[in-house]
Amino acid sequence: MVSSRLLFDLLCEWNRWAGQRGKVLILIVGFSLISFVFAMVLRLGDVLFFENPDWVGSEADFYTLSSVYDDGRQAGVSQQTIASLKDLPYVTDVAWLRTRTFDFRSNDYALYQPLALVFEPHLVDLLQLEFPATDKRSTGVWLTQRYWREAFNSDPEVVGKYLTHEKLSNSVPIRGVLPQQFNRIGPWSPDILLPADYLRYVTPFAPSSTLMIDRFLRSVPEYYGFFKTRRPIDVERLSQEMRNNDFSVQGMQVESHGGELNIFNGIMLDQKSATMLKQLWTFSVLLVIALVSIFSLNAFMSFSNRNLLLADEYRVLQTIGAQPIDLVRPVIVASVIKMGIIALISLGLNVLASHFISMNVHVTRLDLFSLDGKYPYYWALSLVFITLIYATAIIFPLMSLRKKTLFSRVMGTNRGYKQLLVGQGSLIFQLSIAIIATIAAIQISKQQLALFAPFNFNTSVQQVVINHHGGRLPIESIEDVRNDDTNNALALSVAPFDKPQTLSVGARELGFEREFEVHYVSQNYFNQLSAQVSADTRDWKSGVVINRTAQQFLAENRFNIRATPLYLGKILGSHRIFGVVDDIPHGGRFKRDQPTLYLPLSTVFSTPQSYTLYLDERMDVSSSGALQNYLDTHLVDAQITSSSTLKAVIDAQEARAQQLFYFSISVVIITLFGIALTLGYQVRSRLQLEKADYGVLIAIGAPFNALLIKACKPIAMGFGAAVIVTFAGYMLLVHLGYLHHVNLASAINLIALVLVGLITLSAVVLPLLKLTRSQVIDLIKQE
Amino acid sequence: MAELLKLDKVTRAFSDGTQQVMALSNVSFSVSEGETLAIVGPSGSGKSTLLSILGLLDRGYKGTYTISDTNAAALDNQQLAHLRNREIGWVFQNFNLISHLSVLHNVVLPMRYNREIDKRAYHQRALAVLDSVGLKDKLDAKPSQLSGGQQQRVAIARALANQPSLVLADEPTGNLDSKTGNMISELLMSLAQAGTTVIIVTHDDKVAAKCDTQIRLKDGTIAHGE
Ligand SMILES: Nc1ncnc2c1ncn2[C@@H]1O[C@H](COP(=O)(O)OP(=O)(O)O)[C@@H](O)[C@H]1O
Ligand SMILES: [Mg+2]
Repeated sequence: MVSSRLLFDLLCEWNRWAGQRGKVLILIVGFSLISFVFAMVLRLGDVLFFENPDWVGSEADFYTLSSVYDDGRQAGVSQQTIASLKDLPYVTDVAWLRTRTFDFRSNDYALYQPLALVFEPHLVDLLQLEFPATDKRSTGVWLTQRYWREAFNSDPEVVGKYLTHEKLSNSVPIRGVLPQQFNRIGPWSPDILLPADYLRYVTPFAPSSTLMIDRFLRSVPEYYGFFKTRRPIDVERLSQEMRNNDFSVQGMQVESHGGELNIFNGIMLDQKSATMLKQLWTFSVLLVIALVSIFSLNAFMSFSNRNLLLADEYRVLQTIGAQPIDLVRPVIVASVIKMGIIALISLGLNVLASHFISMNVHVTRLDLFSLDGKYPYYWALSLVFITLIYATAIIFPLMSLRKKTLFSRVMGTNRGYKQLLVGQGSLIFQLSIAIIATIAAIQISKQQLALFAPFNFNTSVQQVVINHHGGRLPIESIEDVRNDDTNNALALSVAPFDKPQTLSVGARELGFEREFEVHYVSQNYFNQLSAQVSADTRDWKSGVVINRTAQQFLAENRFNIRATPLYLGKILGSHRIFGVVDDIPHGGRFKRDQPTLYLPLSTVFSTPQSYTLYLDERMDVSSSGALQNYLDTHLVDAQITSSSTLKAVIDAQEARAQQLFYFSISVVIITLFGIALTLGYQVRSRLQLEKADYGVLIAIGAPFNALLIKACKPIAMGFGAAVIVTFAGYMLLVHLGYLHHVNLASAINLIALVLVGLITLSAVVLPLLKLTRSQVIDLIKQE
Repeated sequence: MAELLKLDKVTRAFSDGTQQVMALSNVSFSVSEGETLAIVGPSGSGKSTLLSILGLLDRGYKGTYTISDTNAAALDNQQLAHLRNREIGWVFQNFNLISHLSVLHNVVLPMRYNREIDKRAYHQRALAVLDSVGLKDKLDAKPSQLSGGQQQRVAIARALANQPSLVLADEPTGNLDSKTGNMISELLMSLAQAGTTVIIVTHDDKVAAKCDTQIRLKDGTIAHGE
């Protein structure tokens, strides 16, 4: 016997949802998802549009002056350029930073060329950087926490010790260890922080030629400028103006690196990641809009539906002396509990998301979802948002209990022209999203199928990553290192197998532009991996090898791969196409169709920081004298940092993609469930409203087909409109350049249409069958 | 015996847009404590309307309704609910049990809105009333698992849960076969012996004959009393 009022309220609510509990569960999961994605939208939006990076103490608005390459990578500008900002009347404050390796040594620790973040001392005031001993900011060195841990074994007594440099007569004191935020600055993971003065000692000029040193430092394009203004400025206009100026330093010729000067809003050092985050943000915003519309509609309908039943119960309760609060209280209690569950699930999703982000280290802001940062506020805000939607979904139908107009309007069950339009509109909207979600689901599942595909190359090849501190491996003599047992040659690439560089291929004049993956590889690379190439690679000295996907992409863009050389940007220039190789899944089989090109090692223009060797699995790397000899002859301090089979490398990539797969397929499925439920409500209430018509039709002997046609007509029209809306949306996105060209009649799209169509049809047929089985007299009887 | 309720020139009109329907016009009568009253009359004559007013469910009437020396029009919603809960028990033609609650929970329901009853006494009291209607063995059944007569007995038990002074029954036997109907009307009549006032709307002349008083309604007016 339940005597507690609270428990009894809950029992009643539990009973009232009998037969609907699965729907309530989907609602709860849907709302949790909304809360999670909405909190992410807020947090990401903050990071992207309002917040300065976490290593910057100031909350003021800044601008960044740097240059940008064609592919979006950033580079520095000269000090001269940055100094010119000071002449602008509205600029109030300017400072810069740059990076450079410094060959510092220590008596106690083995250091090798730490990467220094070099700062103009004024930068500390401008950005309000917070780190120990800022008062001694013009001399000395600071260690980042990571470097302190890795190179100094977290030595607590490190402050006050000295580093030496062969070009410095005095040794440099260690001032302190930087806070954690300095571990990652833009795209860099610096080792130390160093005042600008030390740059004077590492120029090509003798210490005595101060004039030349000054000129040199002012003219090298290595600096990132930050400035504040009196009033907001138009960055496009100022960029344009500055591009037209000549900032060269008299008496100093410095080669340009090919980037174009550009001013950014905010502190911007890594535009590429920022762009990626912006895409994620845009996608999340769209997802929130879709989810909110579906699930608020769903909640609204399920509560409306329930209230019709509740109205009878309420009338009975009134006769035994219940008051309105007695009816509302159970709903409130149950809603509070549901909100609690929603909060927990969305928190759980957040934990998963931060775990996922920490696995993908290329994201610059690891603290994005950190619970001790700003995230909890946004999370709370998103819960308030959800509560508001939920409360509206409960209260609106309660109010419309007396006036049923609102209910029937949303359900499309009113005969009024306008009401019908609104009902039909929500139907079209939901079916459109259902079609998109189904296409996404099939596409994602198809990627999953790729995991069953056999490898088209030899995955048992070993990959060995070699780091070094100088020198260059001669490709010609690599053939010298043969495995004594297997007589198998080694192949060589610059970047590891799974970490290619990227390059923007094509140009506006060619009518296409797309990011390609680029691998610099030795001539016997494909041979070593047993990958099929269309031409004999023994003759491969120049030209690029492209993969099948790249070939297909170029063919689709009417590019003649036999006749026309491929333009690869200012630095690499044009290359003819040497041959086509089968797609090698560098990033795992999920990412199989990635346009990729392979360039001969000889085209690498700068000295590679590391090399990757590919050798037979039977070869023991550590005991191969020939290999060690080869490395030691050509490289300074060569170290084997990792060695694993390509199978292991690919497995790691695929495991990560697998997690993303599970997440996205769940989102899609929950969305589809939500839509199916709403659709069901809509169809059933429409049938309910017209049941007398159906009764009459049955009474006069109409066949089932006639009933079906009558029931399906509005839904079929909605479906047709949804197909048009979806594909028109596709074309619009392609037109606006957000999507690559899509084949509307692709098998996936057609399967999706058939699936959604079938589900929609069954949503009509099932309740109709039930209706025809009930007594005709009951149908016709008016209430 | 003391007068429990009194109607003075009570009129109830419904308007559905254009037309006005006079459901009751100038109805006056009084009922004493412990009296049994039968309201008879053809369908549409205003019987249910009259009962709704007596049961404090309808306030849209003209005229005066006095219950326990209080003018019903002077009571606010909360006081009305309070009176309905303590002083009035309802029995309907179609039982109107809460379908998702068990027999026991349905009977306890009115007690939950009555602060004077200790929560620990719910079970005991419900058992006692269910015993008095002969349904002690169906505590955990859902209404849908009971026959019509059983459901009506649960409804009567629910009406008696707070020991009201007035029981209103609107065609309580209308949905039942004659044998079961007889048992139900016997049950209701027996309440009067314990001092409860019973007002019953019925088509059954035999039931009406057993009542102390009869009122015959025709087109919203009392045709002839006694
Ligand atoms: N809520 C209402 N709205 C409009 N007319 C009503 C309403 N309730 C009752 N009536 C009308 O009042 C008259 C009496 O109804 P009712 O009291 O239910 O009759 P009875 O119970 O005697 O069959 C009928 O004509 C009925 O149509
Ligand atoms: Mg009636």
